[in-house]
Amino acid sequence: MKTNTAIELKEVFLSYPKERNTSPSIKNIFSLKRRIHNEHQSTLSNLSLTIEKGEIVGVLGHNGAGKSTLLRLLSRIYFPDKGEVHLKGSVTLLAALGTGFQKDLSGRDNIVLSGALHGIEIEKIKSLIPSIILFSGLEKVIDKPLRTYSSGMRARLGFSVIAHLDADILLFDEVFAVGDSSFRSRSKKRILEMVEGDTTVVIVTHNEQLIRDLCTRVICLDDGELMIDTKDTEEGIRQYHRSSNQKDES
Amino acid sequence: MDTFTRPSLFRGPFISFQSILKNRTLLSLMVRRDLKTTYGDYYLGYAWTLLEPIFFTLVFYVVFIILRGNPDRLLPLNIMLGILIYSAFSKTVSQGSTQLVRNSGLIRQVYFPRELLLANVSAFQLVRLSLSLIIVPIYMAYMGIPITSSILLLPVAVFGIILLGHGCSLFLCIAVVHVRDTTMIIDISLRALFFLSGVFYSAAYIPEEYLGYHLLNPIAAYIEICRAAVLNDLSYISPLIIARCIGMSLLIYAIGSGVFNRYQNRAVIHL
Repeated sequence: MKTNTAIELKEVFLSYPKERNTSPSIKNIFSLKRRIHNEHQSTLSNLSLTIEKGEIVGVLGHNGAGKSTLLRLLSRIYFPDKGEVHLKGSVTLLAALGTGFQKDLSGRDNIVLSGALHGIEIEKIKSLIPSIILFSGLEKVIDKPLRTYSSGMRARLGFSVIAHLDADILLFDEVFAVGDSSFRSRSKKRILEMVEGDTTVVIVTHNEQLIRDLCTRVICLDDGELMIDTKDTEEGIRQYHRSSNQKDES
Repeated sequence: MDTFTRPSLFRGPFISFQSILKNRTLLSLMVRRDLKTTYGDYYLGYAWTLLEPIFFTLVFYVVFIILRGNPDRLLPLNIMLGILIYSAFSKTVSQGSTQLVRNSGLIRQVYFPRELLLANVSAFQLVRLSLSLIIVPIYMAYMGIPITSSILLLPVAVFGIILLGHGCSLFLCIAVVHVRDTTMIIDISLRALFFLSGVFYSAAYIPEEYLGYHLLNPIAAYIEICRAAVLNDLSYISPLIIARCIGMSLLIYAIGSGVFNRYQNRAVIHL
């Protein structure tokens, strides 16, 4: 791995069982039919990718193309079946708002718990609490139990926590559009602050304008394979549309 | 540089232990969260950890001493100790073994050492059992039982039984992810073990020729260690039995953490 490389994937394969999220039972385990049909389906297939430090990479692809799986692999949630994954520096995945939130705890306690789950030191979380509360605009209700919050308020608190996370590699998975228009504009500004400097960023989004505004490179996945990889973001988006149209026609 | 490598079975216990040690602040936050959400909403709060054994002891006193006329006045204490120890083990196993499945959403959102989810259950049960055992010195004083040095065996038994349950839940939770029927097998096994582990009867009621076999069951042995610690009666407990129990707890923990660390990454795909 070169010194300037932040992420390196070498011939990575990852497969899911076809009947994922079902409850396998003893009956099914001994069923020959299930054994034949429940093969694993490939989610990432022979994926090799190198991302340099400071690059902002936008990931495009259809639903089920393997975009979120790629982010989960990079954040160590998933482990490859085959191949090598090398990461340099700390990694944070911003995939959902309100990770680890507990409805019976106060907003303040939830900030501490969610921050700790994302790997922030407890002292650092405590020092960030005033800034997180201010950003969320929930000063008046922060000590009330989360169950009394509306879904919009929960999302704002969740975004405020992740907006204060810090890592060498940031992975975003469609967490941009929450709250009212004023909160959304503050969120976008905050994301721009987070990705500047030499932080390496991988963004999964269907928002092409965001990719045009932020990214320095575009990759496109199709059935777990790398189809497009270019530093010309406009050309990358165009190629993605072309391949989408061809796929729709066929 | 961080490279993904699959740990060997033998390194599992060390990886688990290091991971818990490194993330002890998060673990303590999780345990405090559970204590707060379990007891925080009640008027009597943590007092319920004491009220539950007091209530059961009163029930056993009425049933066995008053109604059945059993002359053994220590029977309610013996049964209460059996129930407290057994339920700590049982809850550690039954809740720990389903932790991966119940927290699948969280596991797929953020990476954190997953053994913390199981350690959280075990630590919560440890705190709960320790709080419940506060009743023991009160009961001993009421019954006029002197506190002797053998009471030091009580924390040994408490840690040992929780470690045993924790070890079991570590490999069972992987099995539950792959075969959901495992939860039913665990449930039935725990109910059977309740009757086989001397919760409602002490070693004094076991025929001598079967006593050795009875104490091979580490849960039964831990319950007897607790009773011996409180009543200062070491007639059924020897240093060998204590060492064997601790050894079995450590062995089960080593096997459980080895299996967990080796197969947890593949299990997550199935969540």
